[in-house]
Amino acid sequence: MKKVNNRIIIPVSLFLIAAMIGIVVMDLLYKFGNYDTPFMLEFVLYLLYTFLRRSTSKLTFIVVILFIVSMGISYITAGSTRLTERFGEWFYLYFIFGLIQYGREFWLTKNI
Amino acid sequence: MKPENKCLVVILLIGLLLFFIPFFWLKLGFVDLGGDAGRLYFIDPYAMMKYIYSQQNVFGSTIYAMLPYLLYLSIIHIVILSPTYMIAFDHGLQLSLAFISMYFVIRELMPQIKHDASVFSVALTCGIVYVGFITKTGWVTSLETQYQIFLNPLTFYFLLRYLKTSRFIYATLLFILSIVYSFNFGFSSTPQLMAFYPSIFLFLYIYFRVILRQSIPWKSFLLLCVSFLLLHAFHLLPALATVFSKDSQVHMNIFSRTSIENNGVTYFDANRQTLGKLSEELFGSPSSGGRTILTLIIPLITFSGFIKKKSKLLWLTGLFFAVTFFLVSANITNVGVRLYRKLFYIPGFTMFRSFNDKWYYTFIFFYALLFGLSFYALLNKKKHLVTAVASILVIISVIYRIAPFIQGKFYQTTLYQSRSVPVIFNIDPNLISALSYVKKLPDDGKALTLPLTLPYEQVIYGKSGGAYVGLSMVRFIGNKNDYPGFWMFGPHRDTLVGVLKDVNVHELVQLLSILNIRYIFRDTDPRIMNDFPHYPYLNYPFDSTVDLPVLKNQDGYDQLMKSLPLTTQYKKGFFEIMKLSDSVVRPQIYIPDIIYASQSDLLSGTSFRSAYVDDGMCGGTALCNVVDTSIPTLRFKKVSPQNYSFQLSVGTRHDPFVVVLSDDYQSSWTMAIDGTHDLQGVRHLEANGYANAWVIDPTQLNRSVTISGEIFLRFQKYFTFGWILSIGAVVVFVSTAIILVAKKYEKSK
Repeated sequence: MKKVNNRIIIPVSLFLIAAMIGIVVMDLLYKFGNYDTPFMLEFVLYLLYTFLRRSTSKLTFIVVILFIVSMGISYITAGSTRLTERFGEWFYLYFIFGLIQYGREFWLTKNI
Repeated sequence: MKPENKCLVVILLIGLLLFFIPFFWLKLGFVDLGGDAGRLYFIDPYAMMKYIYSQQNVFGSTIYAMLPYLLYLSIIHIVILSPTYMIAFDHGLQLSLAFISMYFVIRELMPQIKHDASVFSVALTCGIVYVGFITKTGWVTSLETQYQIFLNPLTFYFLLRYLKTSRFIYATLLFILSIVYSFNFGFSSTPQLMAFYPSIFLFLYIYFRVILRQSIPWKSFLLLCVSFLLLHAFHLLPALATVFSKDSQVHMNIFSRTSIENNGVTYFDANRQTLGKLSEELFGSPSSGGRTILTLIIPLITFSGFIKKKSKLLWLTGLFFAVTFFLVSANITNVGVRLYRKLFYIPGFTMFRSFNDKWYYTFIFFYALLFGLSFYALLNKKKHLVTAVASILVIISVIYRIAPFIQGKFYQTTLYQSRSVPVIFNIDPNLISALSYVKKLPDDGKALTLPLTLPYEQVIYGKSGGAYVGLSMVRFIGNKNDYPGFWMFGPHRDTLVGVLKDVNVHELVQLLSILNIRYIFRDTDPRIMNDFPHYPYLNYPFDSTVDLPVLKNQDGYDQLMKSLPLTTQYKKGFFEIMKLSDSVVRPQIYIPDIIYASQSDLLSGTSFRSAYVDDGMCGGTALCNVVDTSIPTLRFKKVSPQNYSFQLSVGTRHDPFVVVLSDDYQSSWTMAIDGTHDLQGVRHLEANGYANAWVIDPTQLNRSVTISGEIFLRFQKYFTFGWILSIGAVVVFVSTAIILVAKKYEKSK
């Protein structure tokens, strides 16, 4: 049963990861314009991914760090451009998601 | 020496070092005083205190909270005479207290043992990081709200200690601090207060409930709040009365939907993109240390703690950081912006329209806190050497970034739209002599400060370069109400422009006379005009090209002065004080010999005792356009700026007449006759476009021969009640302190 599950979960997860990366990249390339649609799509997929993989807040905060590094590099090289600010928005939304997960983990361990 | 004491010595030494840094920023004799808020109290705090104390009216209520700070500066001024060192002392205190208080905040919040070396390193580093954050705020021509940089962490620390221990000493320290810096707890600092205190109250509530797992001592907390309100009643009560006074501009700004939309939503939409930069909030603006790889260190550490260790305190601080980051940047997603825009419809939220500035102090507090907790999470259980090296690296990176600030390079800026005129200047001794002369002038009229600027500012050149562009020195140091710029003329602005455009001397004299202007303070220095081709002397108004050749340069002013009926009272260096002929100046209180129904009739008229009222006020009465040949005699005495006693000799006159008080119209100006006000036969109205007037009908009043009474500002009662409450609170507080100390002494015996 576990094998069957893995056979479904792994490709789905890989698809989700690819889709999420794709959304972020397309958004950063300004393919969606200045709309919130990519954010909504991304977090629906990420929510699905966290359920499937039972991932913890640790992963989300790693993504947060990735975004902050990208934002920092963009800021150092180009200043407060649209790209830098968009990285900032992605960082912020993942940070909020991470905080919710972090709080939920405390809640589940009856530690709050 | 105990390890704890060793730590304290190190912290105090760093604090001392930070305190002395600003003493190397300015050369002796040089000052930085300009800006919107004006920092003239560094020249003469006592004079400014006297001026503000005298302003017990709707307009003065918003700055009244400065009094204790000015008193404190006056005391400091006895020891430190040089304004340069006064500024350095003030900046030094801000820097050093910001560092020390942030250190103690981190130590207090850490649940670990206090002697832990890693807690010490983390708290020290956090203090330095916080200093790095505060270097971004405007240190040149800084506003009073700048004090929040150390007041926020310090009050937080005292509050936390008070709630944890319920010890009276922390309440005392909180009160002393809040009283000295009451301006930062008053009306003008409302945005910063509302941004910080509700957040920290909520933070502390959750901290006590979730992390310490104990309830907040509500009784102590409520007692603290009530005592605080009573102590600050002397400025809070008048400010509240202003907010709820329907004829005040403040009331309009808060409650009027039009004002909310124009001043709030429209302003927010116009400036959101420029002011709200997520990257600059996280990494610091390019001016604060440039964009180097070092800018990444602080944010990286701040968020890495979440990966390393589970901590409820980290989570809680992260939540508060997230909220304040959203509020300070205001540009996170379209939904977020739409939500932000909706917030402006909450009465009072317009105060956050300059969101990047108003939320910044709260944001950096939680940012520094989050950095400290995350840094601790990363270094927890690491060897002392690792902790020390990591801390030193972070500190070096911060110091490297703020090195230009430490060197005081931010002072190397020039005044807005000037010909590279430095913002720092040395005060001309002739200016001080001229202001001393102004202080001695009798209180019998206002002053016109020349050259006229567009807004309300005065420009004064330093003795050897640099200039001052800021609030009028004539008003705040000379203690003389004046008109330094067009905006101060209120409803008469356009008339003044017209009169000056046509160079109509007669009408100009009439206009000055109805405004009760008796003196002219003129700075004849050509540089203050030649080196400022634009601001603050732009053509009037901002969006127009109305050309006023007579105000273009000092030669134009020379010609204008020659045509006015003036006598020179004082002249030294560039500074001249002149007096308009008594025959053309209307007294502060007078009975007009003719009342016109329009301003233009008054200006072209020959009488310098005339007045005008709104056309509607004239309708149906025989008051207007009739020369009064039997005007009653008026004698008055100025008891205070808010109280005049008068005596009218009406003889057998039965016809109504008007008494004009040349002070800004406020509905709370009241005329009382024989101690009674709101009488039939006395009607309050606005005259001369700005002043107060009363139509007195002797028949209805049933008075003849003489009428004596007083004119007073009812609004002043709020100041009186406020003082009573504040002084009462101080007395109770001091008595309690004495009793507690006596009890402790007895116990120890």
